[in-house]
Amino acid sequence: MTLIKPGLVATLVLELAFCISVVMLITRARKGLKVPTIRKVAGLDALDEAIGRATEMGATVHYSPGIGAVDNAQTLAAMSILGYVAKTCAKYDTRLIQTNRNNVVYSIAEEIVKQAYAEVGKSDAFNPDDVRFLSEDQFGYASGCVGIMHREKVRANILIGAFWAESLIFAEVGAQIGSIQIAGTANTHQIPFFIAACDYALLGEEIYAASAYLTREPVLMGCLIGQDWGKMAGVLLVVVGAVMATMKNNALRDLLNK
Amino acid sequence: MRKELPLAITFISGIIVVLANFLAPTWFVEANKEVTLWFQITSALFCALGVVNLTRIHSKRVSQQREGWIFSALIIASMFLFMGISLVVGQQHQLYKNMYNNMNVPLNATMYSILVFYIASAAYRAFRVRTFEATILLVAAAIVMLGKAPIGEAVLGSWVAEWTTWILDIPNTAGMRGIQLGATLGGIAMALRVLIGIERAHFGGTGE
Repeated sequence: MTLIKPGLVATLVLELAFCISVVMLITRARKGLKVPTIRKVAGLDALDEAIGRATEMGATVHYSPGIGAVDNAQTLAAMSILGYVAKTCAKYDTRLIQTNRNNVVYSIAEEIVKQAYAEVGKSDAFNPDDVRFLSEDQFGYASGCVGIMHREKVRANILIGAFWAESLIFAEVGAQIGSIQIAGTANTHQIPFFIAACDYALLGEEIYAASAYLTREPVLMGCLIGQDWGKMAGVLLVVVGAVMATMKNNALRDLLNK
Repeated sequence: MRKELPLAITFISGIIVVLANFLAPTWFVEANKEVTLWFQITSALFCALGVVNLTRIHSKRVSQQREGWIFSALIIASMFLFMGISLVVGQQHQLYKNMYNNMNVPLNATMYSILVFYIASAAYRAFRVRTFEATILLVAAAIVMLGKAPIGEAVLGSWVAEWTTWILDIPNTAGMRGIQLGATLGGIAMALRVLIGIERAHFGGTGE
């Protein structure tokens, strides 16, 4: 009996190599060795601007982590950004309404928002009713969000996480009510909708870079560099594979299928 | 211990789930099934929290007679009605099926169908020619729309369909795959950060 499933040996080796390189860079960052700076991400820089605008207008910030469950990496990335958004809102006494489609995500989000208020010394200002579970149903959740956006004077709409067909409903309604909108997802079919309807869009991997970018913590930055190394290796494989396939040589394809 | 125990559980269960995609031994597959079952059971427990949250927010709206309180009353009534009927007669009963198929399904379809208007308004906004990139987008979109609609090929000839296929298969797919490559690696790195306990936002803090 084989230990590794057939056809997945190369994938496992590549994933392990990637993980080892990320861990190596994290260790390097922990030791205090220099890690390169990262480029500016306009969408993440705009978070403060969006919350600031809502604060000036005495309006509300709406945050949606998408409709993915907690086992979706995009939802976890959204939870990291939620901590930052909640803390900033708490600091400026801006109302934050955080909506959820998933029960588990809802309970995590409630803890994050509560903790954010506690960290800036405003535990009393935390309103548990502003962290809401709306519906497990995709379009039930969408209609709930749309209602909140219209009713609660939302002027900053932050949509970061795993979105599907409801993405455009959120983004278009946000645009109609005049919200400043920051949206991000790794679901490639929804990215064009966000680009068309939102002021700032985070594309794919940018949502995963958020925690490193916002906290500037060296360990997280090290992880980000590891990601870039992996991307460069991936691009190299694509180029070599394309050249070999053009020359009718299937050696790399066969190797990766082992 | 409050931090270490959840971290240890995350690490062990996470490693099992990840490796189960690659490893073949039966005992490993069984271990993965067990972890997945535990995840489902835990997720089901959280359902109650959702019900409590909905009931708390909407009953407050009803009791304070805030604007639109009637809709809140409707939410509470329909939620408990559905829940009660499914508990009493079961989800396979005709009554439950009728309620689901004739209330939930049409409401979902209505919400979904609204998308067509949003797509039109988003397209209008995206296609306004203000920059060179927007011009390329407009031209590409016009060709794809004409190529996908039967009238395009009938009036302009087969080149529209051929150009549409080329736009969708070559530049579009290349762009999508580029984003997917970055996003997948980002996802793996995110999972790794969670497994080794660097990313802790999901434990309820702000991740700092």
